[in-house]
Amino acid sequence: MMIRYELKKVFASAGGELAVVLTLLLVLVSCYQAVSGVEWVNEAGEPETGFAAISKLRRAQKEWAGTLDETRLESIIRENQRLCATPEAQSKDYKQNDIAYGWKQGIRPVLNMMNYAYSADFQEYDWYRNEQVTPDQAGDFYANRTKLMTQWMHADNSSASHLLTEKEQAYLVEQYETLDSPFDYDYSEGWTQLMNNSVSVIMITALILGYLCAGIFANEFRWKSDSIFFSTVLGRNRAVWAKVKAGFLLVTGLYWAAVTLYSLITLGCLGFDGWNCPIQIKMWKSFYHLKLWQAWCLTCLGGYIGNLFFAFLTMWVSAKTRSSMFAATVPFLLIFLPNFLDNLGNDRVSKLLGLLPDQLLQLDQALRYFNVYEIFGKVFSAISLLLPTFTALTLLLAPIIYREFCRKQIR
Amino acid sequence: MDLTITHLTKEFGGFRAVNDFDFTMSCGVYGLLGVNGAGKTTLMRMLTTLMKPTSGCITWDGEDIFAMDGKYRKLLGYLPQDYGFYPDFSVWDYLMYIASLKGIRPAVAKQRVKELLHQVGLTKARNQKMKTLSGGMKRRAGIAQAMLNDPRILILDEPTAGLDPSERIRFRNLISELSEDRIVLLSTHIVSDIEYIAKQIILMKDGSILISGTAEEIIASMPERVWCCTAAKGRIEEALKTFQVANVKTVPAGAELRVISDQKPAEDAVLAEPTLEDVFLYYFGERSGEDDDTL
Repeated sequence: MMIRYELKKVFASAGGELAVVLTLLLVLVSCYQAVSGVEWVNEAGEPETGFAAISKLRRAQKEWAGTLDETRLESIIRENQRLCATPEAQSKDYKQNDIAYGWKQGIRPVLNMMNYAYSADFQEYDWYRNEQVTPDQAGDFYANRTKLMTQWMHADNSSASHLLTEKEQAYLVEQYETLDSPFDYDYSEGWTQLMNNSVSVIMITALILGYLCAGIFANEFRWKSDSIFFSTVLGRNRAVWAKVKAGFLLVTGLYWAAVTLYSLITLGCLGFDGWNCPIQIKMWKSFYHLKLWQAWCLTCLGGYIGNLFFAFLTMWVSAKTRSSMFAATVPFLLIFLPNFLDNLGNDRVSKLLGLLPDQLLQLDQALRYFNVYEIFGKVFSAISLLLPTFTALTLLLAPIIYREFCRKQIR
Repeated sequence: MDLTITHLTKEFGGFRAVNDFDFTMSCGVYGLLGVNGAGKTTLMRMLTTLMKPTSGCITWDGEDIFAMDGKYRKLLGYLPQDYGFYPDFSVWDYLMYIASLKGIRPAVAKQRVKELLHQVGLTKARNQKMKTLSGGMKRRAGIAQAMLNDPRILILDEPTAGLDPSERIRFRNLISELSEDRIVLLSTHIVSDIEYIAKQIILMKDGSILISGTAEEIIASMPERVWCCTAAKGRIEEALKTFQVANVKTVPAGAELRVISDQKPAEDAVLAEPTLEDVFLYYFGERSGEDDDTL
């Protein structure tokens, strides 16, 4: 009963209604961006978007779907060589090049991986590298991944040598060596676009929820209803818990509604295909052993824990300062301050920033980084530290918020 | 059923808002009368456990109210001076929510809210949003929330502030109706709010009790007498400077004055029956009520 009314306080106001409408708009805009982000270059070399384009791209990539073993890689390299030898690809006219590009769309994701796998240096990316790969090199495709990283780690003046301890380096090598190969290859634009646009959905939801949760405690003071609230029999115990629970339900409900809607619309339009492909087909260097669907679930879970942590911290500040305005700035600070510090360009600072809560809101990005930490001789990945740490901190915040608000005196 | 206040003191950084306050209340209406800044609200906030005293204690039937915690708040109904509410709630939702805070089960609460809405005359406005109610309607919703748990102790801090005369009379009658079998402590700086309904009146000044008793006892305690006389136009100013004047009524010849003085202020002055308002003026002076704070 009390929880229901706490939620009603949030949603009955114009600000609450506006926040829900904004969330819905945000989801729809993100879905539109995801769907319109898929491009098909037609026979004339012109880009197309929309459902017809999605269908053509799916058909083209499905032709090459399957296990990416040596034989298939050889076929892809041969096909690439054949296409590169055409007059259109050789032409100096960019329009002709675009037509040739269009023919490669079925194998484009594999060619991208080849650009990494056959580069001269681990840190290098050459868009045209795939054109120099020959069929006899197909067998090196997976081995090169580990080889290039090891070379980078042992090179003089490599950033790896001063950023990573020996154990951390060994951990990364082991992660690379133990990754299952050959990879499965399939059309997977649904998952790619889903992750590419997820940051805006998860971060803006965190800001909206911060705004909504900022009022749960502070509005009692703003509306001057605190005196009556605290003078009631449950006003210093169960009613305070009801506020904390309402905050939890608010975050859970709105976050999962937004993320589920976003996932279903995007995947519904772009397709669920490629769900079981490893994330390396999109993030070649990632050391995490995950399939695309697992990476998406992890991104959503991280976003949820991040949203909960931000909301609980906001509620604590709101209970402490009695100001919803001040409390609502907490998520902004937590999101934008690390970005500002990251721009300072210090590698060690950047490594530490990998453990801040804003990372939870962009786990799909964290999957790409080499953020590993040696703690008491054991090496942990950033994600394996972030999830339990901030789950524990969020759980810890709940009784702290409760105690903070229960003890308030009215002057 | 006794609410006892013993040597109660509340300090704010060296300033004593309530100073060594001693009083005991049993069933009935108690009027707490004092100018703004006398310490009424601070006293009431301690009585509602919203604020802890610096020293002294408050007991309910011998038990410390702060130690009783929820058990004490279960007996309490409170309408604060600066009465806040949830602007986007309907009257019904507001009362149902407060009922839940008071631990009243939903089925019982529904019945109780219906009864109280009827009693305070808000049945027709039950679906209206709180922010759209008039000042008087808000106050009535306020008294309804205070009465939800049928409290043994009803504390009303300046409940008539901002109400027009007819609303004030209606409110006074309502409080009188509700005062059976409970302690009602009503603070005000408007004498007429409590003159006829209070069993006992406490005059509070600078955080302490100046005098307390029934209206008659307080009136009788005034050492000076009340006179009615007429002053010519040119002498009104002088009279106001010389005497404590309770009332000035302009008439064609000048003004009819109500003067508080132990000596006859003028030849034509006749003795008048003193009222509680005269006593209030005698103790607090003409500047009473000019300050506006919440102490």
